This record gives sequence, structure tokens and C-alpha cells, in this order.
Amino acid sequence: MSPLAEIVAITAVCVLSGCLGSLLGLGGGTFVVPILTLAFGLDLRLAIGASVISVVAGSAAASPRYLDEGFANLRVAVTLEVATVSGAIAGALLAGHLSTRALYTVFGVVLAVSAVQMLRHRQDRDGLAVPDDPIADALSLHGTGTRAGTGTAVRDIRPYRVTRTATGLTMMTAAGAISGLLGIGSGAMKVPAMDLAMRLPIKVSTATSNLMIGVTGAASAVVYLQRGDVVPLLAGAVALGTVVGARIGSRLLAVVPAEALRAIFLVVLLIVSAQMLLRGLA
Amino acid sequence: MKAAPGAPESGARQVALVLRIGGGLGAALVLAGLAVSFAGSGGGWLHGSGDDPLGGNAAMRLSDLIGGLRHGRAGAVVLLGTIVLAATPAAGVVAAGCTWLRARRAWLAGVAAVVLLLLVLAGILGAAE
Repeated sequence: MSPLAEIVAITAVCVLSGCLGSLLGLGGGTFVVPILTLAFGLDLRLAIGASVISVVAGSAAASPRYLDEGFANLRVAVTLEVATVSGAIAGALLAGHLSTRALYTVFGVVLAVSAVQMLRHRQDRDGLAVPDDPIADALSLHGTGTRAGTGTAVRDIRPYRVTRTATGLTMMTAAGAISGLLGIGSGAMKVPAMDLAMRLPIKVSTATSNLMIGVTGAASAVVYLQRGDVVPLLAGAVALGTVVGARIGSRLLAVVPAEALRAIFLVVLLIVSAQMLLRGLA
Repeated sequence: MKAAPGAPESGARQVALVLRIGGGLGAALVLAGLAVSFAGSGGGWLHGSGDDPLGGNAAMRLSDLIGGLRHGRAGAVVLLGTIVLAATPAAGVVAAGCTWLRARRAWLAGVAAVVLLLLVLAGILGAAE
């Protein structure tokens, strides 16, 4: 394949991955690294370097809409970014010292865990008591959001209370470390931390995760850029595709049947996970 | 003052605007750099002759930016675009912090400042690698 055809193909595939990443709150990187390494045979470290840039670009493209529509909780995002950025710095620095096989193995395991997370049926826990949380009270993290619903654009707005911020911060540190290590958004870890632990509504969790992914990715991107692990043309092509895909995904969030999408994503994730593990362990 | 239910919260519009501008500018620079690269070595891109533009030898560091731009390297323009993209979320945090500072929400402004300090630390540690 000529370089031009390769760049066009990479950009096109990243449109799809960016769209899926935005819809599922995962960031496009979850798919970008496996695609670049398994399908295009690129070096894993360079793929991760490109993915980190695409993660930031995808977040910057999708988040404005979520902010305008009141889906994303900016106060929660910035508070949790303290943890994700700390973790991302540690992960990105560690990535420079791990072997390629170790990175493939960790990637395969993380994708498998993400698939298991997808299997869990998520639902808003309306009516359940929410424990008081002094951190959430002090930082006024509570907000209003839309009730989870699929295939409908009708907004059912209701207030929610945020809880267990300390637990969320702990989980976010781990999510940030994985993000920095593998160049992915780690939305599969961020969304459950907000949805299950902190009791944010599902769509608020997804939108807030998308917003946070950009800042986490920026911390990793700085380390990768300083280390010389970024090929500008590759990162540029991947970022452009992801930006276009993320914009499409953010427009589809209110109308796409999330359960059907999750089922398709689950199958793809399991296949890719097995292939990455094979590369790491073979 | 609390926003109406479902309305964007304090600072959200400013952050959204910063993300739109930064994302658009970064993407435009990347696109321009790609176009210049193609124009400069179109034959090589079409037929696969010359250096691989996606290979490890084409990797650049942050410190290569100024020299690359001075010498008119298209890769440096794309690199500038990726740097703008990478800096955009940090600019969003600055916008949020300023809004909260003006609204006298000192705790939230402090948290935003901590995030920015961590991003600076990332740059320092990355350079020391």
C-alpha cells in the first residue's frame, strides 16, 4: 500500500473509531492502537503516540456539545482530573520503560476488562439513597442532568447528588495510569467510576468522561511529545479522523440505541483483546 | 447563582468555546501540514518511494518544532497542530478556573490550578526522560 493510500485508510478508519469512542464515552484510542498495529503493522509505541493525540482531539471535538447541552458536569470533571492527570503522568513515564510485549499484554487485558464492564447492565438508580459526601458538598459537585433513555431526544431533566468523591478519585488515578500507559481514553474505567461509585446519571457520566479524557490525554501527550514517540503525519491523520468521528458521535448520542451499540462493541472488543494478548504472549 | 435545570453550568460555555477554537485551529494546522507534505512529496506518497512518512524515522520531538518550522518542514506544521490540540484541554481548564475565580468559587479555582500545575509537571518530567 502506498503511503497516501495508507494515510487515507487510517483517517477513514479513525472516523469510525472516533464516532464509537464518543458514543460510548471511551475515547477513540481504544480502537486506534489495535487498528494501527494489527491492521497496518505499525510500531506499537508510535501507534500509542498517535493515539494519545487522537484521544485529545476527539475529546476537544465532542465535549463542546456536551457542555452546551448541560450533559457534562464541568466541576466533577476538573475535580477528578487531579487524579487522572497524576495517574496519566505515571503511566506515560512507565510506558517508556516497558517492553513491547508487555505493553501488548497489558493492552489485551485492559480491553478484556473493558468488555466485561460492557456486559454489566447499567441503569440509573433513581430513588436509591445517596450517602452524603463532604467533598462533593464543599465543591458543589451536585447538578442536574437528563434521565437515561435510549432512542429518544426528549429531555427528562432532574437533579442528582454526587457521592463518594474520594472513591471516584482513587478509581480515576488507576484510569489515568492506564490511559498514559496505553494511549487510550480509559473511558471504560472512568464511566463506571462516576456511574456506579459516584452515582452520576449514565449520560452525565459518559459526557463528563469525554471531557476528562482530553485533559488526561494532554498530560500523556506532553510526555510522548517530549520523548519523540510522535510521528506528526501519522498523529495528524489519526487526529483528523478522530475529530470528524467524534463530532458525528456527539450528535448521535441523544438518538442512538445505546444497548445495541454496546452489544456490537462488546464483540469487537473481545476479538481485538484476544489478538493483542496473542501478540503479547506468543 | 445556580443555573436552570439542564442549562449549561457556570463556565461551561467559555470552556466549550475554548475547546471549539483550539480544536478547530489544531485540526486546520494538521490539515495544512498534511497538504503541504503531500504537495512536497506527492510522487513519493503515491508510489511509496523515498522515506516512509509514517515510520519511526519521521518521529519528532517537541524540541524539533522551532527548527522544523524555520526550515519549512511540513512535518513541523503538523507537529504544531498536534501541540495546539494537546494544549487545548489545558486552555479549557484555564477558562474554567478563571470563570470560577470571578465567581469567587475559590475551592474550584484552586482545583483547576492544581490540574494546570500537574500538566506543567508532565512537561518537565517528559523532557527529563
